[in-house]
Amino acid sequence: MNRLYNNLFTLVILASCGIALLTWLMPASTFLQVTLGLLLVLILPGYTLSEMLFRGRQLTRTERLLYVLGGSLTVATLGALALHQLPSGLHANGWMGLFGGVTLVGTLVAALKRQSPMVEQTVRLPRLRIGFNQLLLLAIAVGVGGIAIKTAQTPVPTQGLSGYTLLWLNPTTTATSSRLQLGISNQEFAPTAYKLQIKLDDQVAQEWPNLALAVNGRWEAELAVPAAELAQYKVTAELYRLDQPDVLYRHVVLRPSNEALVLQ
Amino acid sequence: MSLAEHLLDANGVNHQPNAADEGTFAADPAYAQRWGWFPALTLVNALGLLTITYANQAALTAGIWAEVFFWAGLLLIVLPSAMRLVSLTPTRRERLGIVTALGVALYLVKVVHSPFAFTYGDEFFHLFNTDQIINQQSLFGANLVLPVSPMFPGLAAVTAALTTLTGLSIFQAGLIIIGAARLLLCLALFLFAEQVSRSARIAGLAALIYMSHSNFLFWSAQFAYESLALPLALFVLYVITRREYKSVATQYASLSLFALLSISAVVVTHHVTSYFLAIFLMLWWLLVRTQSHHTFANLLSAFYLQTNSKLSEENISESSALLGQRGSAAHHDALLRVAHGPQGLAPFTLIAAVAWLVFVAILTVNYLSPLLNKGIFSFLEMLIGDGNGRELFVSAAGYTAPLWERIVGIGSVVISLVLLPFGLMQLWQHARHNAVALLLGLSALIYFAVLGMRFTTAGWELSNRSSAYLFIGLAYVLALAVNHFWSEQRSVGVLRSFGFGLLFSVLFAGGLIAGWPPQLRTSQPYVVDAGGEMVQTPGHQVATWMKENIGTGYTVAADESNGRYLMAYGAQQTYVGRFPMVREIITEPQLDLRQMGAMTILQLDYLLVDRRRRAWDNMTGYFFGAAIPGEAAWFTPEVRSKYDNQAGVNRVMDAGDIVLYDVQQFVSTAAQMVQADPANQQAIMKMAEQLGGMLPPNSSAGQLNTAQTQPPAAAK
Repeated sequence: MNRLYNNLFTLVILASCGIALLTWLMPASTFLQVTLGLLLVLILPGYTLSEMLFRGRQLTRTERLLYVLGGSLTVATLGALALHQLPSGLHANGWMGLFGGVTLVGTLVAALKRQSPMVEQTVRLPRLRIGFNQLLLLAIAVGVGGIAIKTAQTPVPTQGLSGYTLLWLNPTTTATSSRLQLGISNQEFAPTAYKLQIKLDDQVAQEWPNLALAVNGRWEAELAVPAAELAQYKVTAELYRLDQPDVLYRHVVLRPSNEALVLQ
Repeated sequence: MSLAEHLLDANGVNHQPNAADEGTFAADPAYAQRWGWFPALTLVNALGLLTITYANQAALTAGIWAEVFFWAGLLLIVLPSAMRLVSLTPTRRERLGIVTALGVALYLVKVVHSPFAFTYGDEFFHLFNTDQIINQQSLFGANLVLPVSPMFPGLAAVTAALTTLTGLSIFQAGLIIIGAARLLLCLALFLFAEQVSRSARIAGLAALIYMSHSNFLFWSAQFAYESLALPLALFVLYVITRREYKSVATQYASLSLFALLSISAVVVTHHVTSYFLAIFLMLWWLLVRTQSHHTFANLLSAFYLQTNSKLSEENISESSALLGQRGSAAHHDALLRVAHGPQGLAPFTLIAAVAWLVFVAILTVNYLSPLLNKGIFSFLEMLIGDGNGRELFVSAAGYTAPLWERIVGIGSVVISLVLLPFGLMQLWQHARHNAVALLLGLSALIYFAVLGMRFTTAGWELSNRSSAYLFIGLAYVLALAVNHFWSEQRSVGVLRSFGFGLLFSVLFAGGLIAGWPPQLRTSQPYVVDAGGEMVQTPGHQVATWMKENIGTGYTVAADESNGRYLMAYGAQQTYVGRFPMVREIITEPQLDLRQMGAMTILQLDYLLVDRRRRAWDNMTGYFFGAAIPGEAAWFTPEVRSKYDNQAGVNRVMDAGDIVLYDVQQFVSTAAQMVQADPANQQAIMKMAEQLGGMLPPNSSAGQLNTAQTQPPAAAK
C-alpha cells in the first residue's frame, strides 16, 4: 500500500473520529470542537473533493490549498441549499451529515479511482523546505500579530465619553391580570444612586428613594396594576440621580388605553 | 486561448527564468525552493499591524498622533512588500508568499479596527441573516432593511454552518470565513494572473496593485456577501484558465465540474458578482469562438512556436510544468488545437444567474435598477451640464479632506492614468491573442470610464462598488506597465525598487482616501472599560434589552444605526431610515395623516427615536462619541418629544439619547381613523401600493390592517 493510500485512509479515519468527537462535544464549545469544526467545514470537504477529482498529486501545493479553500466554501454554500430542502432543515446533525458525508464519500471514491492505472501520472513536488531562521521569523511575526490583535481588544477608557442609564416600564398584560415590568440598568461609568417614583396621573403612587447600582447593575420590579386603572390613568415612572436630585433624568410613560386618538 | 499564445506571452512579457513553479523543472531546484524575504517581510507586516493597532488605541483616546501612526503602519506593510515584488530576484514561491502575507495583513487591519463586533453598515444585515438561519434552520428569511440579502444566502449559510459546528459566535465565525475568503482571493488572483501572463512576477505585481483599489482595505474585508463571492469568482476564473491546458479528458472534466460547482456557489452568494462573472465569461467565450475560426491567428501562433528563437527548451519545460506535465513539442501541438475558453461554463453561468434572479431573487431588479439608473442619468446630466456635480474630497456631512489627502488622491489616479497606456501597449504587443488578457485590458478602460461617475453624487456609489471587479483588469494592465519599466534591461536596483514602492504607496493611499471616510479609518469607541466593567454602546444595549424584555420579531422603525442594532442584536424586523417615510415618521416635528398612514401600512409595533443626528449615519452612528463634524449634534426638542404626548403611544424605555415607543395601540386606532375618511383612504391605499412594492414577498406588512394588532409569531 503506497503513501497516497495511507494518506487517504488516515483521512477517512480522522474524519470519522472527528465527526464522532464533534457529536460528543456538541453541547460545549471547546478548543477541540473549534478545531474539528474548522477542519470539517473549511478543510476536509475541499480536500476530498480535490482528491476525488484530481487523483492525488496532480496539483501543486498552492493549487491544493486553493482547491481546499474554494472547494470547502463551495460545498458549504451549495450544501446549505440541499439541507434547506430537507424536512430537518439546517440543523447541526444535517451540517455534520453534509460535511462528513462529502468527506467520507469523496475519500472512498478517490480511493477507488486510485486503482486506475492512470494514477501513476503524477508530479513530483519539491520539498517544502524552510530554514530555522526563517521559521523563527515567521513565528515571531505570528506572535507580534497576536499581540496586535490582543492589544486591539483593549476597551477604550471612559475619558471624554458619557455613560447612560436605561429605565423601562413595560406592560405585560394577560387575560386575567395586568403587570408592569419596571427596571433600571446602570450603564454609567461609575456606581450610581437613583431615586425612582411611580405616578398615577401625576400623583406619586410609589417611591424608591435610594437605589444604588454598580456599573452594569440592574434593578427590576414587577407591579400588579388592575386593568381598569391602566385604562383610566396615565402611569409614569420618573428617575432621578441622587447627585442631581432636582433634575428629571429619565422618564417612561404608559398612557391610558381608552384615550382618544387626536393629532397633535 | 491556446498554449502557443501563452508561450508567446511567456516570451514577450519578460519571462523570468528563475521564477520557478512548485513541481516544475527549473534549472536550479534549490533556488526555486527559496523563500527569500518572505519570512522577514511577514514580520515587517506584523510590525505594521502593531503600529496600526497603536494608532487605533491613540485615536480612541483622542491622541494627536493617531493618524500619523495609522499611515506609518500602512506604509510599513505595503512599501517593503512592493519593493520586493518589483525586484527581479524573488522566486515564484517567495512572490506568492509575499502576496498572501500582504493580503492577510491588510485583512487584519480591518480586524484590529473593529475587534469587538461587526460595525460596518452591511455587516449587520448579514449578521441578522446568519442568526435567522441558525434559529429558523432554513434559508430565505425576511430582511426588511435589505430584502435582497437573504435571497443570496451563501455567506450566511457558511457562517451558520461554522457557528453551529464549532460553537463560536457569529462574529468569530464570520471573521474566520472572511479571512479564509481573503486567503482564497490572494491565491486565486495570483494564480489567475500567472495563467494569463505566464509570469510569476507579473502575477505578483497584479495581485499587489489590486490591493490598492479603494475598497480593498475595509469594504472588501467586511462580513458581507461580496467579500465571499468575489474570491470564489476569481477561483472560477483560475479554474477555467487552468482548464485550457488540460488535454486529458478526465482532467478537463474534473476542472469543468469544479468550475460548475463554484459558479453555482457564486450565483447563490452575491448578485453583482455573479452578473460580472457571467458577462466576463460570455465575452471571453465569444472572443475565443471568434478566434477559433480565425485561421490567421492559429497560423501566426504556429509560426511563432517554430521560429521564435527566444522560445527555448527551458521556456517550454516551464510552461509544460505549469500544466503539471513534462513538455514535448507534440504535446504542445495537440494543445494548440484546443482553445475552449469558458466553453459550456459561460452559458451555464448566464443561465444560472438569470434563473436565480427570476425564480428566487426577483427583488434584485428593484434593488439594483435605481442604483444603475440614478448613477447613469446623473452622470449623463453632468456631462451635458444639466445636473449637480459632486465636489471631490468633500463628504456628505461637509467634511473636507486636507490638502495632502487631495494631492495623494489625485496623484494615485494620475499614476494609474500615466501607466495605463504603457500597460495597454504591452498587452497589445505581447498578449493580444489572449482573449482573457484583452478582456482585462477592456475592463481597465471601463474602470476609468466609470471613474468619471465619482463626480456625481448618485454615480459615486456605482463607481465605487464596481471598482472591486473592474480593478482586476486595471491591476493586470498596470502590472504589465510596471514589469516593462522595472525590467531586467533597465536594472532594478534598490533605489528603483524604492521608487516603485513609493509610487505604489501613493496608489494605495489614494485608493483608501477615495474609498473610506477619514473619521472611520481608525477605531471608534465601541466598548468602554469602566473600572473593569465593560459598557456597550447604547444602541447595542437597547437592542439586547428589547430582545430580553419584550421579545423578538416585532416591527420597529428606527434610524440607520439603531435599526441595524435592533435587527442584528434584537432580532427585530426593522425599517430603517432608507425606507420611504421612515425618516418623516421619526424626524418631522409634526405628526400628520400621511405619516400615520405609513405607520399603519408598515404595521409598526415600536418606534425608536434617537436624538443624535449622527444616528442617521449608517457608518458612524454606532459608536460612543461626538457628532459628525460640521453638523448639528441634536434634533430639536420638538422632534425628540413628538410622540411623548401622543394618545395610544407608550414611552416604554428611556436610555437618554434613545427612547423606545410602543405604538401598537396607536397604529391599530390610526388604521381605523384613516380608513373612516374616504379621501384619506384613497391616498393611503396609493401609499400602501408604493410601499408594498418595496417589501419582501414574505412580509406581512404592505396592506391596511384594521383588526386588533396581534403580536408577531416570533415574539411569543
